[in-house]
Amino acid sequence: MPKAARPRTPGDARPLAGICPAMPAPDPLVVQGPRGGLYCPAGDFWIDPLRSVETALITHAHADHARSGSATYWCAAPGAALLRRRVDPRGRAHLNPVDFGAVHLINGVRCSWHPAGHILGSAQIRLEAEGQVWVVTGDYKRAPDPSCRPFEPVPCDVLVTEATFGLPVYRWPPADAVMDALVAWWRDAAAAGDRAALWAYSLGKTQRILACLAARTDRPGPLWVHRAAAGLCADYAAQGVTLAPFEVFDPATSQPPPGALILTPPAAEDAAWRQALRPQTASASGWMRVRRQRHQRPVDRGFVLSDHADWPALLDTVRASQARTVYVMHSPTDTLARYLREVCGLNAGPVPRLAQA
Amino acid sequence: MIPFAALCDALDGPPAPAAQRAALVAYLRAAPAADLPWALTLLTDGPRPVRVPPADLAAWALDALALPRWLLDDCVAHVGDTGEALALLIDTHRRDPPEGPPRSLHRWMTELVAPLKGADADARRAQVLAAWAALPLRPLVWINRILTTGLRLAVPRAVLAQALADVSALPAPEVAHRLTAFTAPTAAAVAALLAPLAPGLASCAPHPVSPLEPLAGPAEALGPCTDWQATWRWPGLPCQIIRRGADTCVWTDGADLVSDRCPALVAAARGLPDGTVLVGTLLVVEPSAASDPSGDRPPLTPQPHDVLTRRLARPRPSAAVRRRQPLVFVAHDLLADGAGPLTGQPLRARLARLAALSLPRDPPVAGGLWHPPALTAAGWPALEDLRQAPAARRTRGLRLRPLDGADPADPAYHWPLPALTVCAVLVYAHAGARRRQAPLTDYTFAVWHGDALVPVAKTAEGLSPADRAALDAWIHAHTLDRMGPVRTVPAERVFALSFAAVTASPRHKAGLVLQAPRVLAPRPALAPADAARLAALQAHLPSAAGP
Repeated sequence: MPKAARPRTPGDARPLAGICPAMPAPDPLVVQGPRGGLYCPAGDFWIDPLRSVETALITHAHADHARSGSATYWCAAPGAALLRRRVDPRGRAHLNPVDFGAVHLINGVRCSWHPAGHILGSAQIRLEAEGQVWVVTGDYKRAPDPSCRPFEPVPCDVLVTEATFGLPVYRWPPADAVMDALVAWWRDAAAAGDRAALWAYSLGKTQRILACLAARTDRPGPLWVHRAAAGLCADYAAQGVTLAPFEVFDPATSQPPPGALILTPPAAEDAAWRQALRPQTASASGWMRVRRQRHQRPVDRGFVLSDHADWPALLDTVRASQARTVYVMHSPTDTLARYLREVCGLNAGPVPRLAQA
Repeated sequence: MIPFAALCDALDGPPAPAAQRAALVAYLRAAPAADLPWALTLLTDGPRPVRVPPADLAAWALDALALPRWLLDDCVAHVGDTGEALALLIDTHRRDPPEGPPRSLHRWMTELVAPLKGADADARRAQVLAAWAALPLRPLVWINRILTTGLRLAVPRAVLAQALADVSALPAPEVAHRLTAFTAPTAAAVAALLAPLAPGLASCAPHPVSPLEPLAGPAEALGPCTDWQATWRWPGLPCQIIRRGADTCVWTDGADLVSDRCPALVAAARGLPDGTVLVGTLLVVEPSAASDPSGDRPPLTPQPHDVLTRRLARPRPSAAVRRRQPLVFVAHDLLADGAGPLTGQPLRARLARLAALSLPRDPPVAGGLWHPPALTAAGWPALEDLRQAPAARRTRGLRLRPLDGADPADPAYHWPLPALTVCAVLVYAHAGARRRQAPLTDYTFAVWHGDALVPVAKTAEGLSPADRAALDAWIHAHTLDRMGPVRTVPAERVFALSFAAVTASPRHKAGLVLQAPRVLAPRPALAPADAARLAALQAHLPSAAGP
């Protein structure tokens, strides 16, 4: 693996020192790798690397955070089976599941995993070394989700937060109201003798919807889940998450009856079965809040249901962390960092880059 | 307001006439009678009581929310619309749920929107802020749209007419015709729109006319040339003008009523007898085109098809637009006149009755009705000469109809223009959309303009699979640069292209684009420098003077 030197030029490591000279940013415990992922020079390990490394600390099993090929993986215990299925189905790598809150010393850095509320087993990673506490949130949400443990704020000096929806136009409606609307749409489709197809990510969103539906008695028809998501549902069930009963949807052979709701990953938007079954279609995603993005999806309806934090939740999380320095990742724009700098008076910006020795 | 906002949400999106019609019918059946005038005015993009500049709304919202301007700018850039971005921002920063009793659409329009006209800035601000506080998100999005740009949902009038017909038991063409006169949001206007049909009133619906079939084989196979009527086929929309009492209906494409888009044509048709049904083509012409004294080439210069569609999409064309883009109706058949229907009579007799209407025979360069003189040719070879002439490039070819055919649905033929050819250089290639993704199927070709190559055509048509595979391998091996899916290749390969016409296009660097381009064959013997020059294509532009 590349042995990265500690950043030598203070300017590289502290891009914000000039903006807030009174509050110099601390030496980075975590830096941005050249090709994605975060590197901890003090502990010589990576967090969510996008290529194979020696030691990878994983926040959750989504493909933009967990990739195959590393020698050792660390992750929160509830998500271990998902991670194994996604990155290491043949069991070649060494996988260390850790309990939430338990502290592990990795090359001198005290590491612990804390619930992030994004999907099953999603975690924030707390790092403590050289007298600093850093928290890397990974993806997280603050909305209730019966399929995973809720987010727990972790006090820290430096917060590395995601900001997929880091714009103040994003505020999620109450999840219950969205589920009511979704069931009403399903009921209307069933009443019209149609099938309903809902595009939702195969890991996380699908199981969240199934868990929400499990608690409801007003389901108007049978549930079918695309085979790409069925195995992941089994992993959820093994962790004790109650999912609504469903049948596995195999596009080549399955014939869901009219009135069925088919949960299918977005990659199947153009699939031939859509032509054959002619379902009413909808998409469940935070992007559905904005008209322009809703129109980019070839669906009839959009439900605003996200597994990420909205703008109020991002600000609330920053506040609860008590961090004076906030680094922002996965953000389409600089908006959140600028807001934290100019309105909240914090040190904020992108994660410092790994200086090339 | 909430049911209307839900209707707008249902109508907004990719065109889906059946779903739009169902949503409209459900709304029209359930809406309170007082809401209908406003709903129909908004859906037809009728005159608006007030316009509020988006900048004013933005300033009031930033002030009320105490947010920096750059934050709104970031949001507008992301959302793409100031009104929607403001609605979302307001919803995000709302502490309490929307307050105030729910109000119906007509109350919002008469109590909020209409009083904004003439009010001073402070009063407007206070009114709008109060409305924002009272409305949930979706109605908020739509009220901002109504205040700034108008609803602009682009619901086809035919769909709206069909939905109104469903709830009123009137024929849809009748509703479409009445909708063109619906401009005021009053109960009287709605009553007139949905009034029962007067007994004995003739239909204003367009008559069925069969589309032209492409001519397969030589024209001589049709028999003597004198048995056929030949007319130029202009690049426009098929159109019918129907006179009924004091009314004039102008239908295009068999379904769309455009009477209110072309007041000059309606005025010109006013002199025609009651019951007249004219069949022809509607086109937009260059206003400056002078008629050709020799008369042996088509003397009008039509503007491109997209100009026509945009011209017909304007709800209330201004005088300047009508002057810049005059509409011409080229008559070529008459299905009924003041004396009754002519559909049982042969074309020869119908044309005689058409001539008796004394429509203008000279091309109306400022717009209006036109009955062009018949093309006189001594035989098929003479027609062939006309078809080959450069000036014929303004048209799409010839329309051939049997003079003794009694039924307007009889087979009639389209005799297209001979294809033109040009040698051009391959400059870009990229994978086609969706199903054609695997091989690089879309090729961009360029010709010389000075020392530079300017793209003039993009096509995926014409190459055999073997040629395409060989070209694919060459492109993969010689890609110089990639911009997304587009690969730049060295300007080395020359191809012969065929095309139907050249049209002006300000969007293209060349200022023109080839119509219906097709790869004929590779030209390996030609060097890139031997490819055509732009001037050779410019000579084919409709506006260029013919020889």
